[in-house]
This record gives sequence, C-alpha cells and structure tokens, in this order.
Amino acid sequence: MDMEEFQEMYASESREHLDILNDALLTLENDPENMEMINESFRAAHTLKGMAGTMGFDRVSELAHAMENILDKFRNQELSINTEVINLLFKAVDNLELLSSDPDEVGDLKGLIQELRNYTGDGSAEDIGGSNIPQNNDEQYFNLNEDELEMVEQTRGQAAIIKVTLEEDCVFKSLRADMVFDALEDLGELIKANPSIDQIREEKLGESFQILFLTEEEEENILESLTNISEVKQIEVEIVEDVNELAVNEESEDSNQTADQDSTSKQDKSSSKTQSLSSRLRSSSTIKVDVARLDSLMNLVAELVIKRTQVESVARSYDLDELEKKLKPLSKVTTDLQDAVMEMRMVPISMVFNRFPRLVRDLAQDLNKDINLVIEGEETELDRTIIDEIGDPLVHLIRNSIDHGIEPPEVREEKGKDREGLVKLSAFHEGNNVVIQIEDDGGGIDPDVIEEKAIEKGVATPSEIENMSDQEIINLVFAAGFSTNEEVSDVSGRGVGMDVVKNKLDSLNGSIDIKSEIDKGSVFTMKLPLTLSIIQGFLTTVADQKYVIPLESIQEIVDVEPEDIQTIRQEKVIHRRGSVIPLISLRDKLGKEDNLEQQDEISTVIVEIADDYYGLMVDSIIGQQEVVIKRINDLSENIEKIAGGAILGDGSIALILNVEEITIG
Amino acid sequence: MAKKILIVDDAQFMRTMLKKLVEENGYEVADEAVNGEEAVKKYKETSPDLVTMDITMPKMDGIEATKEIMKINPDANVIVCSAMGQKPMVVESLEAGAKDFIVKPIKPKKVKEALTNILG
Repeated sequence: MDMEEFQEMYASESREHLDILNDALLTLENDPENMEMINESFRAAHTLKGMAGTMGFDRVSELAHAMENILDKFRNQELSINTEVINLLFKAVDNLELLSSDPDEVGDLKGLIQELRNYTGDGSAEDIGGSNIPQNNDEQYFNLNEDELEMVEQTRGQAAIIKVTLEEDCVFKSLRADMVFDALEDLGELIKANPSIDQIREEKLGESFQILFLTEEEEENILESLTNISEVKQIEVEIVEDVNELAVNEESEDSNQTADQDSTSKQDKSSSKTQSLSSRLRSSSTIKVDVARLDSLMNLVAELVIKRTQVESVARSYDLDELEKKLKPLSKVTTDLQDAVMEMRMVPISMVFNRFPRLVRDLAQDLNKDINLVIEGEETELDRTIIDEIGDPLVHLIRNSIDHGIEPPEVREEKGKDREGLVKLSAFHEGNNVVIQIEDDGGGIDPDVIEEKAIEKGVATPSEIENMSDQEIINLVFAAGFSTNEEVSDVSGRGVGMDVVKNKLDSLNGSIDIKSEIDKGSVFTMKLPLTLSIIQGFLTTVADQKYVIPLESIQEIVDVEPEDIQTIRQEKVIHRRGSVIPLISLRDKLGKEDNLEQQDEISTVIVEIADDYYGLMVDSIIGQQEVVIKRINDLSENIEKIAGGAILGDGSIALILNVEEITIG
Repeated sequence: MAKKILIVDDAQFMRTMLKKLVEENGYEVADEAVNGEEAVKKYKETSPDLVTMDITMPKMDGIEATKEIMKINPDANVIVCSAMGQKPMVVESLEAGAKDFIVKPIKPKKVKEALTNILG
C-alpha cells in the first residue's frame, strides 16, 4: 500500500484536528467546566491518534494517545484542569504540530510523554509498551485496516458510499441494517460500515449509517435492491469513481462520526459549537483539491478571457455587428466561469485568524500582559493565495500590538485604563477589497519617538522631517531599515520589519496604513484585493504606451483645463468638490518627456489612496477593461511603479500601474 | 384477484386489528390461526400469499412454525410480529426465512409498508 498519496490528506486533516485541540484548550483554560470543549479535544486527540496510527506515524500516535488519556480523565472528572496541565497539553500540541511540519526538528519525546502519563498514573513500563500495539486492534478505530486498504487499492472498479436513514421509530435498527447488508450481498463487496458492523450489531447506531461498498453496479440498481426493506426512510448512494481517494476521506469521516456517538452515549448532545467544529472535518459534500490545480484552472480561465477580448476587438474593428451580438452571451459565460473559479478559491479568513488566540495567549504570558483578543468577521472570504501570504504580516502586526502597543497592566492602571488590554482583529469586505484591521487600545505611536529613531537610523534627515506631518512621520515605520534587530524584542524577534510587511502587501496589490493616537491606541488597516489575477481597470495611454489603472482605486475621471491648475508650494493642484487634489504627471513619474504645455485639456484620473485623493494626468483614456495580470520580471527601472503586465484584446501589452507607489513622494 | 394473507396470533385483539389492516390495504384474509400448529395446518390448506406470524404462542411458537412453513414452501412470505425486546427471536425468524418483521405495538403504516414491500 502506497501511503504517499494519503500524506497530503493526512497533513491537512491532522492540521484541522490540531486547530481544534488548540481552540479547545484555549477555551478550557478559561472555562475548565466546558464539557463540550473537553469532549471536542478528546475526540480530536483520539482521531489524530487513529489517523497517525494508520499512517504509521508512531510518534504522533503515541503523543496523541498520551494526550487523549489526560483528556479522558477530564471527561470523567477524574482530573481537574489547571494551568500546569494545560501548558503541558499545549506543549504536546506544539510537538504534534512540529511533527507534522518538520519532524526532524522534534527531539526525544519520551520525557514529554512521561510527563503526560504522570498525570494519568499510567507511566509504568507495560503501558509504554502497550501503547505501541497497532491501533487497528482497537474496535474504536474506524480507520481502514491494512486488509481493507489493500482491498480498496486492488479494486480498480468503483465504490459506492451508501447512506441509509431509518425511520425514527424503528425498533430493531440493527436488524434493518442487517437486511440492508443482505440485500447488498450479491451486488458487491462491503468494505466497512460506519458505525462499524460490530457496533451496529450492538444496536449502537443512530437513525442512519453508512456503508462503503465496492461495486460495479449502477446507482439505480443499488437503490432498487434496497427499496423493499421496511422502515427505511431514505437511501443515498454516492458513486465514487476513484476508490483510492476515498480511503482516507472515509476514514476521517468515520472517526468523526464515532466521536459524535461517543458524545451521544455520554448523554452529551452535541451543541451547535461542537457541530461547527466537527463539521469542519466532514468531507461527504466537499472534496479537497490541490491549490495548484485551481491555479492552473484559473490560468486557463484567464487565457480564455484574453482570447475572448481578442475576438471582441476583431469584431469591433471590422464592425461585425452580428459577431459582436453573438459574443455577448459568450462574454457572460466567461465572466460567470471566472466568478465560479474565483469562488472556488475563496476560503474564510478564519484559516489564518484561528492561529491567533494561541499566539496572543502565549505572548501575553511571556510579556506579563493581560490581553483580551477580540476577533470579528472571521467568516470573511479571501483568495487562497492571499490567505497563504498574509499570515506572517499579520503575526508581525499582532506581535507589535502586544509587544509595543499594549502597556503593562500597572502602566495601564496609572493611565486610568483597564488592566486588560484590548487587541481587536477584524476583517470585512469593502467594495472589491478585503479590509483587515488590527486595533489596540495601547500607548499609540509617538511621532517624536519615531522621528528620533528615523534620524538615528538614517531613514530620514532632520530637514526632511521638518516638513512632515505627524502622519507622515508615523508612516516612516514602513521605511526600509527602520526596524532593526535592536528594536525587535525577544518576542517580535523574527527579523521581520514593518518594511517587510509593507512589501508583502505591495506584492499582493494591497496597502497598509496606520492611524495612531498617543495613549488611545493604534489601528493598522490592511487592504487586500479580493482576488488576484484578473482585475478591472481603466486603460490609459502615456507617451504612446498603454497603462492600466486598477478600477478599485479610481474615484472619477475628469478633463482638467490648464487654467484650473494652481500651484501650491511648487506642486500642481486642482480644486475639486471643496478639496485640494495634488496632480501627478504620469509622464513625469514614468520618466517620459512632459507635454503639459501642448494640451488644451488634460485627462486626469482621480484616485483614492489611504483616504487621500490624487489626480493622475495621462495623455488619453481608452476605457474600462478587464485585464489579466501577468507577472513581469525585474527588468524595468521603474519596476516599483508597475504592479504587473497585462495582455490586451488586440494582443498588445499594457502595464498595470502600482498607483500607491506612484502617489508616494 | 386480491392477494390472500394468513393471520397467525394467539390474541383475538391482534388478529382483529391485523384483519382490518389487511383488508384496508386491499388484500384478503385467507384464514386466521391461533398457534403455530394451526398456522402450519392452515398454510397447507389455503396456500396464502403471505403469513403474518406472531412469535410467542402456545403449542408451537412462531419461529418453529416459520421453519415448518419454509419446509413446505421455501419461497413462502412470512412476516413475523414480535414484541419489543424479542430481538433474538426476530433474528432467529429471519434466519429461518422470514422476509420481514413488525414490532408490536403495531402501527398501521408499518404493517402497510411491510405488506406492500412483499406483495406489491
């Protein structure tokens, strides 16, 4: 049996269980009586042990087993929950995490396992040996055992997952299940049932049970063979084409359901919270797809959009009305397709946010600070690629807030604040963007301190700072070279400065800004595009080259007459709706010859960047277009002003402007 | 022609109720028997399309009767009527060849389902 192909599935499944453990332990630390969380964590450890056992990851299995034993003691109220034991369990979780990410880094676990066992009083030698007994012998494990796996693997045919729901008032459910098994006997081979056949025989089943069944039969035939069994309310047959993929999926589902049963048998009806945690693992209606596959699908769709635009432009330039008309529905389909693919790539930001309660707890403990972390909008969805990228910047910002933002409890008390500091992490949609805010009610950023440090680090000269507003001075924290090792404490000591955070956001076409008030706190606002790859933009020309300005930053397009332009402090500005808008010549910015004098009217695109407006002067405006972003290599000297390249309908190339970069200095 | 059903139960009440349900569902009562022995005898006489068989009965119980009837006709349709807690007996009956089972107290819906599943 080749386990390699299950590796990835195992990794992601175990990740989820570890997240559950982390969440549950955090809750338990503050609410030791929370039976639901005790059960949740127990099941997670239990399932993890089983999964690891099947994969042959003995160390994971053994450690999870030791945890499970402690959690079982909690469950049976034979052991009370205190910080000490929670810390130990956290340590175990950390090691489990490390085992799955970087197993070579994990040292000898015997000590930790022994420590865990000391709590359960089963530290004797026999027990250590005992835990190595293959897990498959344990009836509570629902993993496919070797024989079953082999059976599944050898079958090149299809399998069916049959879900049978019995009527609620059915008395001898096990007998009905037996009748179902009998009826199926001639149609194929029953690999296993969930709950297990033994459990079913013992009447340990709810209203429904599932069967993994190797069969060549059509769905209809299976259904037909089962229709004449009394007290069967519903039969669902799901044909699985690729039997091999099913082995592990099935497995996790099983352990999960077993877990559910555990809780019912304990008369501890799973509440909505339990279900939401468990349902994260349920895989019957979802499939896991490698992100790389989605990426390639995305690229194909992008190509399709390019080709469509090309055909459209041919139709337009030859005045082919009929063709243009026919292209309209095609255009709708490609747009829908695009949306559908985008949607597939969307994942809730909770995937990243989930890490933070633990991070904050540990930081608060290390720094002797009281922190109340509030998370809002964790269901906000973002493109998977972006999710993967924002983890580190967020970690950095949160560390910053706790390390530098929130004051020690005594200081807070002196200032008349709550001893407990507030760190609020929130996410929400705003137009085509997702906004993530990290807010704290700490000491805020003192421009004087920044000023001093900036001069010291050579980031800015005193004369430069002279002309800066407080906000501009605060923004210096993003300058390269501002954060150095010296500044980074033990806690934030990852060598990631704010400039790295900013660069990361730039590379994602996002932005970050700070609002800070001394003694009130700071808000870091990150704006990220909902998705990458395809953007709506305005196509403009500057010195015969086409440039795309992303639509989301555009406020309006105006024609500016030269006499409306005023000069304030050597800067060209226009007055618009009561505000003064600085004008930026793109020719100037892009190193082309200026031609302002030759124009009667100057096409100007007004953009909004971090609450400020700027007018970008261009030669002409072509119109709105959907463009597919293509990465470009570092060839151009103005590369930081360019966010990427785009292929247009007529096959020509346009450059996508990094508007934010252009508006700076 | 309506399908005929042999009702076997030692309790008058049960027989009456089953008879009513059988007729309501468009079948005909072939005959009634009050114990296993009588059931086997009447099965031979009437060759019914289906038998509803009580389990706990004097003289010969439903399981034995089912076995006997299966000897007469291996394709015989027998539905056993059990009480709660008689699971081992139901298992035995099913192994003996019973096609389905009904658990008392019987519910009209369940009786109908069992009958139509077999007789159509």
